[in-house]
Order: sequence, then structure tokens, then C-alpha cells
Amino acid sequence: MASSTQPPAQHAVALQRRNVLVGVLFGCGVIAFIDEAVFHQLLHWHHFYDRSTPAAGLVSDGVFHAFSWFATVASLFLFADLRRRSALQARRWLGGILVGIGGFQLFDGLVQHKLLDLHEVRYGVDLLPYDLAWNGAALAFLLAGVSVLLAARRAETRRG
Amino acid sequence: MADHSGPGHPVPVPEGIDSFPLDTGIVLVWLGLAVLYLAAGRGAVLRGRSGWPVRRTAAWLAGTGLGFVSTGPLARAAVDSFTAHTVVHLVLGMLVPLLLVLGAPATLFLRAVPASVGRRYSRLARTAPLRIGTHPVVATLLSTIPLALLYRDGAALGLAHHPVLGPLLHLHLLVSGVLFTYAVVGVDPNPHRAPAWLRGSAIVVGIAVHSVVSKHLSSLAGQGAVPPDAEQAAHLMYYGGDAVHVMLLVAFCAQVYRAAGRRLGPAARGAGAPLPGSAG
Repeated sequence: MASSTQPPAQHAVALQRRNVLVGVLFGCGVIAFIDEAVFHQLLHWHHFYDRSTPAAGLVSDGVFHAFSWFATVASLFLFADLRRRSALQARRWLGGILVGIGGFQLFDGLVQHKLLDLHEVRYGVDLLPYDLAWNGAALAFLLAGVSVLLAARRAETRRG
Repeated sequence: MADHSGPGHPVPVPEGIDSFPLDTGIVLVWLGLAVLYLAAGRGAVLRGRSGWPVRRTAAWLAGTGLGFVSTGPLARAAVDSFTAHTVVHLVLGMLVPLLLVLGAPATLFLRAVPASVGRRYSRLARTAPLRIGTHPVVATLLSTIPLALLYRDGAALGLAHHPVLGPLLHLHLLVSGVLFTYAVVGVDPNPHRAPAWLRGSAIVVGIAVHSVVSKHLSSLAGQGAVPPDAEQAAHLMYYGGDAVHVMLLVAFCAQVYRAAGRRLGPAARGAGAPLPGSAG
């Protein structure tokens, strides 16, 4: 929490950063929800539990599951807090969401799928196109988010 | 509770006579809790303390009403069906505690009694066992470890068959659930309330453990050591647990949000000058 004893300029920067952070948290929650609804429930590409999942995969799944629920609910209340303070900057918030979606998915695709080898996008098929699409989409979201944030900063400097 | 001997080998025993006193006792306890709360509310009004939020009364009555899952047809089905057992687990161990804690019974009690009784209650609330038991870390351990061990090899149903341990398991579900919920979102006075980051972390750990335990249980399904409906029960535990956990998170975040609003003060709420560029 940014305290009101800070000098105004520093306080404003802290609130700007918080707009991004709130967006990132919400983005993480959104992509986790899409993963659950689309890939688990509708397509059944991801299993609720496949018997080959190692114990580490189970634990990391649980931690990510808990984090994404917390991120979803907390980010909505933090969003309300920004509005209450008249400090909502929609562009930074949207940029944060895109960065959150891309970052979470890229982490899932590179670290959880490949580095730790916990689970895969899909089972019993040639994985290369799926991995490319998964991580490519993640990278696209990430770059889009960063460019939105840079544009917000440029607009800010122009206004002085 | 029917008298079944040995885990996994239920011996059919005619229902009725033997379980009757226990069932009646459970019904009376829940009814009594509802009536006591309403009486305390009336007492507070007679003392001139009106304006008790309706949502608290509604939460308490819903909680005591749902407490009836610990007896009756669902509890009887839970002896043989893991899925029914999971419903009892979710309701009695998670949903009922949340509703009871949000009912703020201690606050209502303090409004209804003279100050001298209230002071005696406050001394009791400050004693070491309560203080330790309602610490988020201890409460999380108390409510997760016994159940994780119980569901680790599907022993939960076997224990539920036991004439003495079965009801004790239900009591543990309820008490540990209430302790945990009070530790993280308790609205009643708490002289040693933990900081928000610790309470939030306890909720996250609780969700993570719940998710791991139910997925592990699902992995056991079809291996013979667990009841045939273990997979369905595990799915119910996972998604049903999520539903209650989201309610818990909303209650927690709403409390932190309101507390931050009080610190902000009326001047900074909405009336403050907008930041440069806040329209963009």
C-alpha cells in the first residue's frame, strides 16, 4: 500500500505502477481460467490428472491453481481500490493484463512444460506445432502488452 | 451412525434404533445454536443495541441449517458412498464454518450481555489455547494435515464407518474449519488478529493443499484400495472446494478493501484530485 506520507510525485509513480500490477494479476487469473475452461473442460486436452503426472507436477499445479484464484479475486478488489482513489489508468491496466496473460502462458509453456517436464499441451500427438502455437501466442500477448505500456508512457511524457 | 466394523468392509446393520439418540442430539445442537443466536439478537435489542446487519443473521441461520447434513439421509449415504461423504466434508468442513464465522456470534453475544460478562469473555478469548489455535499457521496445519493423511490412501471412509471415530471426524471437520475460517476472515473481536499478508497466504496454502489432495485422491481411483466412486468424489472435492474457497477469498479481500478505505479517510475517497493522465 502506498502511504499518503510520500511526496506527491513518488505517490503518483507508485499508483501508476500499481495500475500495471493489478492488470498483470488479473491477466494471470484470466489465462488460468481460460486454461481450465477451454483446455481442461471443453477440449479435454489437459487432463484433470493423468497417472504419469509426477508428484512435483501435482504440487506445482496446486500452487498455481491457488495463486490464480487469489490473483483473480484480489485484482478485482485492487481495481475497485484504484477507482476509489480516482487513480485508474485504463491503458496501463490493459497493458498489464496483456503482459500477465503472455507472461503466465510463456512460463507455463517453457518452464512447466519443457524445463520441468511436468505436463504437455496435448498428449499422443506431434507436439512441435502445439508448442510453437502455445509459446508463440504467449509471446505475442507479451509483446502487445509491453507496447501498450510503452505507448502509455510516451503519452505521459508528451503531456509533461 | 451405524455400527460398521473394519475399514472398507461395511457390515449391514439395521438403521434406526442405535443411531437414534445421536441423530436427535445433533438436530438439537443445531436447532439450539440457531435459537440461541436469535435470542441473543433479541437480548441486544432489549439492551438498546439495534441495527444488527441482517446478512449476519442470515449467514448464521444458513450455517446452522446446513449443519443438518451431519445427520439424516445424506449422512447415512456417506457411510457407503465416497461422493456423499465428500458433500458432507465440503458442507460441514468448509461452507458451514464460513457461514457461522460471518454470523459474528461473539459480537452479538457481547451486545446482549452486561459488561461484566463481556469482560470475562474477553479474558477467555485471550487465553493461550485459543490464541494459538486461531493463529493462521496453526489453524492451517490443523485443518489440512489430518485430512491430507486421511485422504492420502482413501482411509476416510473406513474411519467414517467407525461408531466413535466417525462422529469425531465430523466434529474435527467442523471445529478445524471454524478455527481456520476465524483465523483468516473472522469478523468477531480478535485481540491477536494476524496481519493481512499472513491471513491471505494461509488461504492460498489452504487452496493449494486442497487441490493437491483431491488430485492425488483422483489418481488412486480404480486401484482397488479406494471406493469405486473415488474419482467422482475427487472431482467434487476439487471443484466444490474451489467454490467455497472463492467465497472465502471474496470475504477476505472485501475486509482488506474496507479496512484500506477507512485508512484512506473520506477526503481521499473519490474526492481526491485525479492523477495526471488518469483518463488515458
